[in-house]
Amino acid sequence: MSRPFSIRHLHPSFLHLHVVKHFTSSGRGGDRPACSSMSECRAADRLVSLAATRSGRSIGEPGGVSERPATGNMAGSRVRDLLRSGVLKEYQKPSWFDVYAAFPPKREPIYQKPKQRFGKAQDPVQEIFYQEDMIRAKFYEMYGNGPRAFDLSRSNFVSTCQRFVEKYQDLEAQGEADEEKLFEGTSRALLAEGIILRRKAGNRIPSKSLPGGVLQEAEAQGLVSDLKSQEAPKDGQEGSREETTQP
Amino acid sequence: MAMRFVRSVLPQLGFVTRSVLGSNHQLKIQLYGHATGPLPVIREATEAEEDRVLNDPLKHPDFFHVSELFTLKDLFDARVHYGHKRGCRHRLMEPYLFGCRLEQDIFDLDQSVLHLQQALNFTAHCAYRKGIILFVSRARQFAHLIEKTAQESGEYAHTRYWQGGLLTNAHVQYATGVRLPDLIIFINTLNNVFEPHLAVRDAAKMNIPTVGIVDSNCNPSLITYPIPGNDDSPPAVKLYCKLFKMTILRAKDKRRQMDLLHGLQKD
Repeated sequence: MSRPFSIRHLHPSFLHLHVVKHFTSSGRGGDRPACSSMSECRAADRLVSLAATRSGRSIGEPGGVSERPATGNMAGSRVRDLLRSGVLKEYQKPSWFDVYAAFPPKREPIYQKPKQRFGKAQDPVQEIFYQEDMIRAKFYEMYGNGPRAFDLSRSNFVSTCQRFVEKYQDLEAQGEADEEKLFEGTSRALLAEGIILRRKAGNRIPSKSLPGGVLQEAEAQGLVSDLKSQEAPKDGQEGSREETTQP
Repeated sequence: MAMRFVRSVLPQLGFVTRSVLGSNHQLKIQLYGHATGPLPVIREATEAEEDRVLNDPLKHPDFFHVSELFTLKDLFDARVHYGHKRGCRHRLMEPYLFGCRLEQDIFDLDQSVLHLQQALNFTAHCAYRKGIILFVSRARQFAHLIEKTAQESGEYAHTRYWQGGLLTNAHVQYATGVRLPDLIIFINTLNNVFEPHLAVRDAAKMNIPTVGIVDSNCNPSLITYPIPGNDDSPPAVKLYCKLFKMTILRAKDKRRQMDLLHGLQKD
């Protein structure tokens, strides 16, 4: 709250005569002059607020000085220039100014309009993909979302897909090279541990693992196209169905 | 006023008052068996002392040890690194992003940590210098939390509809000579219709520094000390509120301590 300030002590030369007449004749104290028009009120207010600042009050009070557009120079450089030129006195310096001078921000806060990106301009933000994403893509393609739902409330939660990936990497480290064999091997290993993976409709067991001679089209081309695309692995259910020939 | 105080203390201390009623006469008290010793002398600080109290903290890079208040893991656990989807991305936020994982923008938490430390340091210094801090947010989900944070830290909050001239027309809307905030903290830089909050532009007009959490769909160019991070998840906002409250209270305690150290007594 500001202290009440009497305008009587200020030189009223800018005020209209009839305002002065109202004020000085009676001699009673008043915090606000009896203004008869808006412009006089504003002028009086400006003087009141200018004179009322004593120890580093907010710069917002003087009306004319602070009304600047938000573009261009910002508070730090603007206030610095005002202080240097003498428009702002030392006692009117805002309390944050020294802090701003001691710890300037990394980037001067000047308004910038976002520019459109046209034509062949590349997206500067890189995509985040990992090596395990190939394995994850194959898993989701084959088995859909997996038997167990994600429990995101625990940060140390290991999903079915993650277990699959870890097992796959273990088998790969042991020396297995063929992707199909690795995939089947991981599925069998997880089955041994008790996780039942049900294939999605449309996926057939590949002919190599089956005893009989069942003709199947390999799923490899479908997998490769999915890995290249931007789709989430979870969206594989709505994604393209790979061609499978029915026997 | 003084008489009431004396009368309330009378039974405990057992001193004798020789008082004359009436506002013109001074109250004379004689204390017997007063345990604490002589009353401290109240005196105005000298210029040099005031300068030392105000300017010494500026020489230290982290006077209030705000960097010890949080770690990168805390930010990660509070889901601060999640941005919006790729389509919502603001171009000016691209430098602050680590990457894009399956269409979801991910913030670079290394940068966020540095920005947050700078912002908290600035907040602490402003609170140390008895500045008025205003929390602004237009997310209705967190309005109560932010108001509570502001109340507990002894500062102010505005989480309701922002009328056009609150800062720029304050002399008309409030009263002449009203003191505007010295720092505005934005927990959400956007308003309910996903446009930049008016207070961002108005604070820039009125030379009020701003600290703000900028999400991947915000324009960070007008905020003095932006903090790139998530502003939509409850754990993230709770973390920010907790950090701001701790810095402000820490800074105020430090100021009280420094004043006492230099022999000043304040009420």
